[in-house]
Amino acid sequence: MLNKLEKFLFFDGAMGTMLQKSGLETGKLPEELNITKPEVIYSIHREYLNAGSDIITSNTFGANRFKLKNSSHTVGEIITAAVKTAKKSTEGLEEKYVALDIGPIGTLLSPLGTLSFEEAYDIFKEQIIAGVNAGADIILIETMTDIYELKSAILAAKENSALPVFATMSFQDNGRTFTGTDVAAFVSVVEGLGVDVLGVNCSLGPKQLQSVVDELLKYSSIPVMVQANAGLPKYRNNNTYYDINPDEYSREISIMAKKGVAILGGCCGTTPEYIKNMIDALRELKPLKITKKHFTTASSSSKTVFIGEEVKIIGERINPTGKKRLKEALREKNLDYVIREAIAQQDSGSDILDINVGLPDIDEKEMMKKVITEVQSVVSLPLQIDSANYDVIEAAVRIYNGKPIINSVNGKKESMEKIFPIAKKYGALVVALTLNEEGIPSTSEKRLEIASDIIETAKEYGIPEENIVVDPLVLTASAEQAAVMETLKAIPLIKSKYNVKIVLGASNVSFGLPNRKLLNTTYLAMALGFGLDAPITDSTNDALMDVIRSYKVLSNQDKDSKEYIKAYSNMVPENTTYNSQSDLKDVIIKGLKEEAKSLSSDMLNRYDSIEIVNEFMIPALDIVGEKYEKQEIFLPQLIRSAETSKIVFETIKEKSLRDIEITDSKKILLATVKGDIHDIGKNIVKLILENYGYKIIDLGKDVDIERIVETALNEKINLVGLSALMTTTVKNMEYTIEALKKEVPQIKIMVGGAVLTPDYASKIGADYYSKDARGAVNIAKEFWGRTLE
Amino acid sequence: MSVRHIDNGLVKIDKTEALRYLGYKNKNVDEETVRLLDESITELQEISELKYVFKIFNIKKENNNIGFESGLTIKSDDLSELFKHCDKAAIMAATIGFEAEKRIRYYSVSNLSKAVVFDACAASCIESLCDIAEAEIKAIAAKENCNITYRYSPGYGDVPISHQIEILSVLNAQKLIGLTASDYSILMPKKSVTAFIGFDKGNKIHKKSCLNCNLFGNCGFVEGEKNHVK
Repeated sequence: MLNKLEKFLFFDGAMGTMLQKSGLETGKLPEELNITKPEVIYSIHREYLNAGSDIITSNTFGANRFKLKNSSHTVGEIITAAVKTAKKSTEGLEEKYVALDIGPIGTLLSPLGTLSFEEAYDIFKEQIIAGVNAGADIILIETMTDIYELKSAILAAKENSALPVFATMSFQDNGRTFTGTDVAAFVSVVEGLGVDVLGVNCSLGPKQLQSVVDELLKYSSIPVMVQANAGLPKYRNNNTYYDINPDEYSREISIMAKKGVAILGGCCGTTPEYIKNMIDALRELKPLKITKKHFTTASSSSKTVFIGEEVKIIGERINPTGKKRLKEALREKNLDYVIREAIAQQDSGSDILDINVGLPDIDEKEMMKKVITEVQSVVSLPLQIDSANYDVIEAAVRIYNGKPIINSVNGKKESMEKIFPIAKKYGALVVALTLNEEGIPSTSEKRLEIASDIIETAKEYGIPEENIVVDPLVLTASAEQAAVMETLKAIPLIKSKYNVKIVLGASNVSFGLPNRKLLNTTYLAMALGFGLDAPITDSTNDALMDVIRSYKVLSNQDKDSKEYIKAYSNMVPENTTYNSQSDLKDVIIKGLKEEAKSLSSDMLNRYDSIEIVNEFMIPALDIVGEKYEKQEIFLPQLIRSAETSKIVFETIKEKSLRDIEITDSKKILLATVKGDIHDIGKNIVKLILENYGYKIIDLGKDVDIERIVETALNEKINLVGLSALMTTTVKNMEYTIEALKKEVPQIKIMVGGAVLTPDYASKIGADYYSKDARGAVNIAKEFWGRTLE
Repeated sequence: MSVRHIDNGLVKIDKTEALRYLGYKNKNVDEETVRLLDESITELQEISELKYVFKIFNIKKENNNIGFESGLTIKSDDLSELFKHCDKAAIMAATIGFEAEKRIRYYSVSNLSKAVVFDACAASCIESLCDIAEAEIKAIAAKENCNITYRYSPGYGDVPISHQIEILSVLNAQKLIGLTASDYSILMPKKSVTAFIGFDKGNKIHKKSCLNCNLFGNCGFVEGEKNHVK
């Protein structure tokens, strides 16, 4: 049906609108009608077929485990009945197809909600297997607003059926879905995942959708479909109606068809009349030929980076090689540190972040998944998944939200055989290193040869050129001086033969020589001049950013020097240094975060770290605490002081790693209980407790009971802090306490959260109740019987 | 069913209200917090996606069950009392969207003091949005010579919060305004509200009071401290 697409394909219109017209009660599960009133559903399908629809949609939009929780029918029963009814309605008709309709689950995936990616996958899998067995011809995943949920549905469809997959999302008038995905990100992700048709449905009328359609056609290399609403919903005499008529609908749809949309139908408010009118209006037209687009992109759920248009920076800092603090953080599973590195890179101008967590003594796969999930929940940049292990890469690109970059494939046969199937299946962009079984070649020509080999082999797997970015590999000037220029010469050589973009990790060039900064910046400038598209570099390093910003001005990429002026017109003089002893206390009490770092570095020249903590930090925090209790200062100020103090602490720790180990005996486990996603209060408690030297193991929000118990046992925890904000989740707090007391009898538990009272806390078995973060410190002090002295 | 997308400029984010959420009680607000408030309000004006949907139903009352025409039934003494003089009621749902939520999460990691201020402003923002929705509903009620009760949300009094999913389904809120709920009835985006508003034939003036709140006696936000009996 899709082979040539020489004529338009027409879907049906709304099911819900037709059910309302038949006088059926709204608000109940319309999917149950497949079993209770199949004749009504049958006749609706027939009406659409008579109107000329080529494809009819089964009445299964919400037929999933979550929405049918309270139904007396199973997902399998409803989908089987629905698809059978739809099939029956096409009997005796030529070239008519049944699409298995799959809508959103109805609850959100983590991190916005609480459903895991795997749970979502299973929910969709159940629907797809039932639909395939009942004889559906197409899988239509529609009205999606979360690209992550859509990805799980597409994977479930592709892995459990061989049917064509059509995927549509709903966009608001700002060009984004409710969860923030724009058209470019949508196209890059779903096209990569191998759907057959993509498009837009619902949410708006056809007129308001024209700009979304333009974007879809601009980026898509596969057929585009549109199912618009019959205008915008209006309300009159207790009835909802849509505000445009069939003629107006057809007029807008004709415009879309002329632009290149090949598959058309209707959504809310449309009826057989609209469909018939639309088909008549398009009778004289033929679909436009689809052209391949050749963008090199990587995306997150909300941001797409186009490589090649202007210099893009791939941040390299999340890589433990040679980084003491990051190694330590990964071993301790201290993801806060990793996330802060990610934020620092985003804020300093990185466009993409490389993620490498390879350490010999950790479970790299688990850590990679965890880091990707956590970083993606806070930072909106696309990620580059960097590992030497193929199974780590596959696990990571599977749960990644967006279109990732894989770092890397190389010219070795084994590497290509392992990486290309993964890249193809998940639609990733791949970094290709110009080395093979014989090592890194010494000439630019040889680099081109290896690049050609990789690019041509990729094509055999169905991976287009634009999904390869080549890294021509830098050698160090101290060891192989003559080879340094060969890397640069390879850049234009490769680009002249293929439509590929170039990335380069360039800081190795200076290895073994003094004043590395000078060599690195000069080399970066040279590489950009040779046509480097995306340096893999450190955006928090001012000298390197100076080169990139100035290059963007001189190469006419930074139009009107806007970025450049923004970065350099308001340069402030270096911070003044502080000398007086009382200043650090003062800085903490006033919460002067910006001054904390330089001041504490400076003080380390005169005091040892323990002195700074005991003589300045703790006394200052006590004063802050008292002021807070007396209501002289309030929550934002308390937190600001705590953040300032944390900066002091981190600075000291950085300068003297061994000097200031916290004793393991004062560990506190914190968690927001299962089902609850309100964790801001817990985060405040954590910060304040850390200030007082307690070591916090933070399990985050929506934490399974088993995980809390397991961690308490493994880490030999004596004090646990639990938070819950909702009456519905306080129940889980009770269950968690019960499980902890059973498995770890000596353990003490403090609880907090808006709906708790001291009485209720003791009723559910908690040992302590705290109304705020300050109270938690007092509890911890009482528990250990003394302060950190 | 009425769906509205409200222009961000129309919603006033009340600084005093945000400060109250932060516990300030009109006392010495420091400069830095004021700066964070201003920043947060400006950002919210840029990124919020303010939307609400409501529908008006005929209601039936029997043995403290309130039956809405859609099939939704709420068993509640408190709501029955509030709706004593009502034959009609609106169900509404409002949200400020996911972008604000993403921003709060970002600040929770990068700048926690900003996060709490931003969170308080977002809370004030959703309240203001609900006020706009309420005003529209009030105007409809006035045409029918009714006053309206105050907004009564699931989780208040004895109205179970577990009705959230049903309410969203009755309003088609996921499709229309992108609002969903979890298994535990947590609304997502979090800065969202669902509520019942009765059309009061008796034209009684309804005023919300701390005295009939579940948290009365255990809450730091009590309005007018003289009412605060502990």
